[in-house]
Amino acid sequence: MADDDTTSFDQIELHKENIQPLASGRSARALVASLSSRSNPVLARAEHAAKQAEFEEELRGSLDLDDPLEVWVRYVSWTQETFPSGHSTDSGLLQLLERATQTFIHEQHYKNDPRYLRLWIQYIQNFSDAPREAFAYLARHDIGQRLALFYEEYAALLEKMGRKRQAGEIYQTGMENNARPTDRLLRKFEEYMQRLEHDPPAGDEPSSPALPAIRPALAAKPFGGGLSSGGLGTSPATQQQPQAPQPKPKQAKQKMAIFSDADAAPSSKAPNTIEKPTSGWENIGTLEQRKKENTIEARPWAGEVLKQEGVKAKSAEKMMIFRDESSLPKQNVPHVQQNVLPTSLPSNKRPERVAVNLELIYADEENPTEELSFDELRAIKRGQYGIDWNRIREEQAEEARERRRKNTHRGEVAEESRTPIKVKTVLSPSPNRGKIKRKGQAPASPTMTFHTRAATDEIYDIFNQPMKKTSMTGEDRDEDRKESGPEGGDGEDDDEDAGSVKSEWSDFTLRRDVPPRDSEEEEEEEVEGSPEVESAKAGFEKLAIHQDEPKAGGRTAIHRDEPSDEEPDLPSRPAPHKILIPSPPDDFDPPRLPYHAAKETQFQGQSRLPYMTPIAEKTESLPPTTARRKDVAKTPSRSRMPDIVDDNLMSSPFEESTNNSVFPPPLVPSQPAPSAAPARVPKERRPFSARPVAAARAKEATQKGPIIQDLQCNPMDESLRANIFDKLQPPLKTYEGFYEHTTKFGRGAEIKRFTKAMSKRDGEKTTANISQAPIVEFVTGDGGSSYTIKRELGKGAFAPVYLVENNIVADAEDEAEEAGPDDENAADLLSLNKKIIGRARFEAMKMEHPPSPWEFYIMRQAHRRLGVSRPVESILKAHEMHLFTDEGYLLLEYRDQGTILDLVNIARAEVGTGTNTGVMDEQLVMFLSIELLRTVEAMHSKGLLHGDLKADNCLIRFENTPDNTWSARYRRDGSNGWFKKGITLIDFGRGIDMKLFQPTVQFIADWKTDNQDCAEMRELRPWTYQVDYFGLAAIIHSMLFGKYIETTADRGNILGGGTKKYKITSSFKRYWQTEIWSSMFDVLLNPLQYVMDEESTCMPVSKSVRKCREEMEAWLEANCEKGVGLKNLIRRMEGVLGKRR
Amino acid sequence: MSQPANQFELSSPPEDVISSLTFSPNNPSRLLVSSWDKNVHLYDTNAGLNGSKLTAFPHAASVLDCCFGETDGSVFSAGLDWQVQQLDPETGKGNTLATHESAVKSICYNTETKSLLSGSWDQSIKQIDPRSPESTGSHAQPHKIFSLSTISHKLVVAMSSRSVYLYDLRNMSSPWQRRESSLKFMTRTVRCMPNAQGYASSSIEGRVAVEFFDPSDESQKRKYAFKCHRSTEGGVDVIYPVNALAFHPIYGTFASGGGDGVVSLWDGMAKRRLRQYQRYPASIAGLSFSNNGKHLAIGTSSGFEDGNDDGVCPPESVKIIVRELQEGEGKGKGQS
Repeated sequence: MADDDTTSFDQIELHKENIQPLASGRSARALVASLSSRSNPVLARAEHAAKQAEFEEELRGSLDLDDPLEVWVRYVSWTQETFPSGHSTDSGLLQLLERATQTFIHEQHYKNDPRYLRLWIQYIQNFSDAPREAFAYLARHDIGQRLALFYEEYAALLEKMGRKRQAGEIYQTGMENNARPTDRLLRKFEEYMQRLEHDPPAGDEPSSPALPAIRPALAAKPFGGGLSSGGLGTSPATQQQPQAPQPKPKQAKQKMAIFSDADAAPSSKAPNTIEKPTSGWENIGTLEQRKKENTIEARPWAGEVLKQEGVKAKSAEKMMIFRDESSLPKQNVPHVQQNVLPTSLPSNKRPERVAVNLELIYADEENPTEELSFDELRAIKRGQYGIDWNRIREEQAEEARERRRKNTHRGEVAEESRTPIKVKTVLSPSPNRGKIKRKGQAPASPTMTFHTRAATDEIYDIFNQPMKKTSMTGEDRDEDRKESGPEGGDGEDDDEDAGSVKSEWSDFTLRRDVPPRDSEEEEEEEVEGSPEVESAKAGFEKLAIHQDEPKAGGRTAIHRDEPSDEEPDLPSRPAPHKILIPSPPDDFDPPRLPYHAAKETQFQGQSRLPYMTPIAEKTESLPPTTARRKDVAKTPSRSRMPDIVDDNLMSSPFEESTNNSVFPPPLVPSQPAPSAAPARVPKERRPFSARPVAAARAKEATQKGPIIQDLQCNPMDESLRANIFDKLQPPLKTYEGFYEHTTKFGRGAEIKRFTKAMSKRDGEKTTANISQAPIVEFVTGDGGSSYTIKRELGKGAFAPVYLVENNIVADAEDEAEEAGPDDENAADLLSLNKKIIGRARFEAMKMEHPPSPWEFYIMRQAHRRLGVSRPVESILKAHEMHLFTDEGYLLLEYRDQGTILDLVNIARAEVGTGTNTGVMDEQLVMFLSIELLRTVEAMHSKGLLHGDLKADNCLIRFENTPDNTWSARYRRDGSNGWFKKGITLIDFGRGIDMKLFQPTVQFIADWKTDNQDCAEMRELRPWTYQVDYFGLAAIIHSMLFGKYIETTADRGNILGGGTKKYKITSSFKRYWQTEIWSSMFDVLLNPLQYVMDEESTCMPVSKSVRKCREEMEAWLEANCEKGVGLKNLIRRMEGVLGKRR
Repeated sequence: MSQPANQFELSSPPEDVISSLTFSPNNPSRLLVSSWDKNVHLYDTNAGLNGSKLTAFPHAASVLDCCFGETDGSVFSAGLDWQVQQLDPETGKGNTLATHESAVKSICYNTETKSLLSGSWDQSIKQIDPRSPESTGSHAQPHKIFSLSTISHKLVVAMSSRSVYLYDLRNMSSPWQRRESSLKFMTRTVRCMPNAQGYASSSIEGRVAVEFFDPSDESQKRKYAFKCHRSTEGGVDVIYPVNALAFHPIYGTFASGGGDGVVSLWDGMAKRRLRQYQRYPASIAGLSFSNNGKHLAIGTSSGFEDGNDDGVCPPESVKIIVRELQEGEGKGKGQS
């Protein structure tokens, strides 16, 4: 404030938002005074309280005054001045006005006092929740009926509410009542009439009288509907006096008098209403009273039930998008799986949490009843679990020759959980011994067909029963036969003996890339082998077949081997071992024996924990058919594996492929002549590839064209896939980066434990254990590779995916960093190391068990067939595949930007913020749809199906682009930086290579289907490309609508049903490009109806799909800069996705 | 509440998690403690101010359980090395009595039959006569054995999958009774009542059940379970495992020790809690009353029991506290 005379408007300026406007205006000086007093709120409050007390005191004595209203008016105006922000707990303006107005409601001489009316109007304008009723109430109480102000205010209110006719009525009533100042009222009425001319009342506005006339029949009912509270229904008016003094037209009075109490009706009838003008409406009630239904009355708490918030939260979760986290098995698990116990039943209890980590205790998701005690967990954590103490002691005893061991059970084996395990592919010296023993005790279920609890228990029994040394011989043979059973199903007519030999040989896998052997084996072989020509031949054949077979590792059997073992009874030992021992390739060091032995025991130790490694983590897509599972377990049809073609293929798998021309097989009448292949067999492989191979080949030679001849089949069938791998040319093992190991790896459980612990720890701050991250090392012919597990990225339906650090790349990078840019060596390190070309420090590793190289195959095929093209960017790269007998490890490119599902969810999460509607912006959807369509179209043109397209299988690929290299305008050809934005398809585990099948093949799905499967699957009709088209439709639907696709079938108008036409049930937003979208969905959902547009008149309907895509591209090019603009949308998503990491 | 004055910490505690501790049935100051530090420790709780360690018996692997035999001169242990050993406190040497096919989780000595019972994760129990270990009988069970307790002729075998078998030691060929635990979660410990009427079992989910041997309906009606070892943390009831139970040899009341570090004293007959002691800083790993009922040994060590996923145990959390019970402390309601 400058000085006393001028008023500082700065002060007002600062607070102007907080000043409630008054009709009469405000004194700037008073405002400043009150506002400046805020500088010391405590003091100010005390002052205010004192002043208020003063007023209250005055009020108490006011009844003696001539004009008690004057005190109220002063009080109110002081309050308004002092508290410019209007009503607050401090000012109490509301209560003050209520008190003031109620006090004089029956005071005749104030009824037409403008000051009193003004108080009312202030109250009504500022606080009343039903101003119209309040005015009616005033009319009823005859307050302000002679004042123009009343009619003006009421009419203005009604006019504002759009009740123009009623407003006119009020003006007229006012004029009839001679309200003063009459002229002003008249003037206002004229203004009103003018307004009315410009904007005549709408036809539908209420025409009831503004002040309803009395209707005796309804008299008992509340007036105006909104007045149910108040003092309705109280006894008839007692104190209300007729208003003698005011000369009022009776007519008008009647109009005002609205209520007639039912009881009073007989005596008072219509003319009497003057005497009881307010009967039935004594009191309009304070605001608080009027809202009393909204406040909860205080009651004793006994027996009360409080609703829980948690329950509500559940229903609020509208998220319907399915997150595929293979949480399904968990739900089958009894209550114990959740750490927080169900709290819904005793709703008045606090939520409970079990301090113990139940997930650790019930570690085996597949078998919830199997539990691990704390001590077991600790032993496992410390790597002391499953150590074969008998064996250790035995060794000790033998070494030191101090103690005599009296009981040499064979049994459990060491596990060192923390040290990285080097995988050496080793020949198992005696493949059948331990296995057969175990099998011998397993009643009737050697292949673990169903993973039921009973099955697990059985295995448990197997593992936990004390060894019975003598349980061998005939029984074991039986088991072997059983095991080899499915072989027959593959069309082989080996006799049983051959079968049993075969299954034994399946463990005795010899492989070219790692065929070490050690002296011990040789000795053993010599001791035990006594060749027989017949079985040798069979053995050869099996061997040749089996050698590069992906081992599906379903075997629960473990080799048990004791170095000191001299057991005499090894009955069904196949004879021909000795002959079969190949000479190892020159470039391999035979593993040193002690190491080898130790490592092998480790693997055995791992498999000692069957409950930690669920034997088969099967996707729901694979029905538990016995046949298939058996096949998984024992790698069927090994006799069809052709021999490897050439050594060179190892490094460049596809060079030869044109010669072999397996791809595309349908065009090729027959495979290369069987005689051609043996010629190419490398020298060192001669020993095996002799006649038996040729014999096997001869069988194969009958195969022509596509590998699979069936015209209808389940493309996911394991035996079918195995069959494919058998006959693949060139064989899978020649693919670069594909390594097959004959050993078990057995690290799955450990990795799972680690990542589980990691995810737990994420919530906390501790990172103590990170140093113990498991390092996975793969030993291969070219030096091997090593990866450090970082964390779990996701659990696919098939297998968990982990983020790993490629240690080779990491080392190289670190070294290069240390060396500095000048160092030539550093550059060499980075550039010359072939292993790190195209590799990144962080990669994804998919762990599968049982392992299958299928996904690897499809991904490699996709990359190969698409060559260097734009679509290939949208297909994830598979770097390496390590196939063990128990687990498979697929090394993949790592993209950290999340999936389309994440985008959908991000959009959903933004509902209600700003203009966001909870779904993705159409431009962005269009853009991603184009990317999807292009990629799938390209794959289809190369005969590849993805088979499992869904939003969470599409990673976002928004590569980093500097702003200047990326135009705001969308370019369909990918130029100006647009090619760097797109998607990447992952999870090809259900992929289908159409070139392996007859052109007219049809697939059937025998798994359980849901709404997310295409119509053909749901209706058990055969399908091919439909699966991907429907997948595309589902993804685009979830992007557009933020929810799962739902379709309806429409048979059209044709009687008897024409072709079914599928439509989505959701309807497009009006402003979307409905034509584009609907034609696209039509194509994707009803592809068969478009086949006639194709040149080939058969699937895929690439032409129609392309047409849709081109329409979309054209639209996007034209409209990408509207609104926020596509580029900005993508930038924003990049930001959001980046933040989530 | 308790006064810290009437309890003391034993000097030189084990270096790693305590797996079990037990007072000698013959000498109120002999305390045997087995630990994950691969040792069995024998203490004299009366010696000096804070007791003293008499012997430590080294083992090849972590020891999971220990107990006294007929006399203080025969001590038994069992652990991760699959073996059941008899230890000689004089020489500190061990003598293997039996070998299981997996780690031996629990052992107990039955004075009636003078035999040692051992239960292992290999799903078997062995009945061993320490004087002639050759005549060991092995009895297959359907599940991993988690806890054993014996009194008079009875043996209670608590297994995984909430299975509880009762045996009559005179006829081990088949279980006397097959029961399912009254508790919904994994059984942690069973202990028999000194009066041989029944047993108490505890679960990892903060509950203790009291059951009776007598299979008659009338007797079975008396069984009950109650919640304990829970605490409210931030509006959530955290439920701790009940790791240890010990019956008072004279009054028949029992103590329970939980993952929350709390030891409570219960009157199983009156279904009342008698005492709850001050919370110890780490999870209770073992409890034992001395034979005269004057002392309660409490072993604490942190680990899985208190929700620690690592199973790592900070050495400072490993403590053995011997609590001197006041006159009448531990006496049940209405007992004279």
